[in-house]
Amino acid sequence: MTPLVSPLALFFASIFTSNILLANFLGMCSFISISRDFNSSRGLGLAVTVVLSVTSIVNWFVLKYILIPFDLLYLRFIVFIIVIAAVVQILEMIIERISQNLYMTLGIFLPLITVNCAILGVVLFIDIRNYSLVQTFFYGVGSGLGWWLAIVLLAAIREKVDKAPVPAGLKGIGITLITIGFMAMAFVGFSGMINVQ
Amino acid sequence: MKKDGIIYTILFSFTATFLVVLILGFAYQSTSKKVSDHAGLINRKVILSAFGYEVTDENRINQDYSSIIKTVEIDGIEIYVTEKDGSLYFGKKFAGNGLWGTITGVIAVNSTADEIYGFKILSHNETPGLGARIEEKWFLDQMKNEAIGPSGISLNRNGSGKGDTDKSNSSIDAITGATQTSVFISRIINNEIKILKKIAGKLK
Amino acid sequence: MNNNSAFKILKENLWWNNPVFIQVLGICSALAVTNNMTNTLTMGLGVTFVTGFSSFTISLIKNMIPRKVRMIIQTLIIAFYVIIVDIILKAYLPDISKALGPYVGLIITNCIIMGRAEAFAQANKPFISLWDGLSSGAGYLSVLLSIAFIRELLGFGTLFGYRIMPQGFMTWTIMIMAPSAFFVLAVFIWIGKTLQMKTGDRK
Repeated sequence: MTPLVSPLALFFASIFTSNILLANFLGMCSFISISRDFNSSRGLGLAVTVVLSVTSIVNWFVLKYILIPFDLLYLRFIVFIIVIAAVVQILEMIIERISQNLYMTLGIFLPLITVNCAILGVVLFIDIRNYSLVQTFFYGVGSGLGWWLAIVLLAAIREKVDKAPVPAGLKGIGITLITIGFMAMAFVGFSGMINVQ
Repeated sequence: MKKDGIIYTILFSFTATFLVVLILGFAYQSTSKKVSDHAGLINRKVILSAFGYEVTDENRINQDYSSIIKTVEIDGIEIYVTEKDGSLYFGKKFAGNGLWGTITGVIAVNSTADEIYGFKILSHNETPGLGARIEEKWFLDQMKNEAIGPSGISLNRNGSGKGDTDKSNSSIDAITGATQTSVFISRIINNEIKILKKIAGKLK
Repeated sequence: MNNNSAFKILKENLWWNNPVFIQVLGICSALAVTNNMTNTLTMGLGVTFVTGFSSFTISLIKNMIPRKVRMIIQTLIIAFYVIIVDIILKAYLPDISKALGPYVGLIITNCIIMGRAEAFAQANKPFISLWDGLSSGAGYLSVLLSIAFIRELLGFGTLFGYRIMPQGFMTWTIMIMAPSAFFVLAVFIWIGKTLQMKTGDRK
């Protein structure tokens, strides 16, 4: 039984109200360390969006045509993470061949992405919620864009906050977390706007 | 053999993967019966509790289930029927949309389908701490013995958040902070009521 | 294992170099499951188990792992222990397994585990690595439990599901929701760092 949640609603919900980062806390590690720098944030955000879009689709096929028919669901963690690592590796090679410029902006972030929990998290959510291919696509892309939006916003805010007089113990990570908290609250505020029909 | 040589690398990776899968496969096989038994048990427990029988002793569930619940098929739908104090109650399993995925459970009504008898959740994927609170007792108890109005059940978004105790107003309170999920639940209920009303006429 | 160094590692991992509030590792799951003590405890124990045993295993076979596939073999070992945890939870604690949902699987990408494997297990003997992993897990668990304590108490008025606050207590819905996790963790980091600065150098 596949839930019929409209793909478009899913798309917006995954960007705003249920942002993979701010509501599900996925991909925090690289989020906090990279958001120190605005340009890197943009690059990583783009890379995450690309990888998420591709891996969620690939893993959906692996799930439906390999894991479920052969009753190998219990191995899914290993399989998903290997698929993600492989996709990242292949993407890296393709990007290197196609455009040196793009490789310079994205390339350095790709290895970081394999261990980004947002990627694995989205796949696990897709498995547990039993999404169809169309839903998977919109959820994957939406989550990626949501992550991108969140990291770019945070990086922009951090540039200002870093200059502010903050109590010594709160400097750095502490104040960043509080900033993220306020962002999360603002994103929860979107829930009135999007009516998932 | 050279440690960084290609043959060693392949052999090592292969052996490691083989060992891991072998052990995991064994662990999975040895627990899979327990897992599926438990799933069946939970299934029966939820059906029983929708009809107002709270069985706490796990050893008794299967036995009680077969003595209390009768299963019939009407219009291709599996219907659970029980008799309690001379009146007939019936119900069915449902599967409907939640905010994040399918919500499944059991809904039971009285023989004329104008009062909900019980409503229980079997599985869902709602947000922990928010939408997942649909499993809480106060929320589900609102449905118990709630009269079904001409247009079904309505959702009160500005309720106390502690549950609506008026059983005749055909209205339930939404969960604070999880209005979306509450809307989906009320939609599921109203859908199921339509199906159950049709079945009520065919029930002998 | 030398008692003195074992104690030093414990102190380091629980306080001076706490994985959550000093190194800020693995907070994905730290934040997601902490609105409920029971889930937090299960999750924390899972992470402790996985960190300990994957450090042990990696340290045991570190000389046999070919350099080219080091990362992937480490991931494989970590995933192996996570699946064991998942199978055990599914079979013996099905309710908790359902509540944790995908977060059990996400233990794999918990940076603490990979971090300990890379930073400690690669260069040390198996048993001291096991101890290092377990104590890192304990450091993680203790911070998570403290956060969950505050969030569950204020958000639901309960602890481990038992009602603690009086009946009329107005629950703080914000504590159940995502933003509060950031705030509570930030306050913890603030207190922790200030205390460390006050007590001065670790020597």
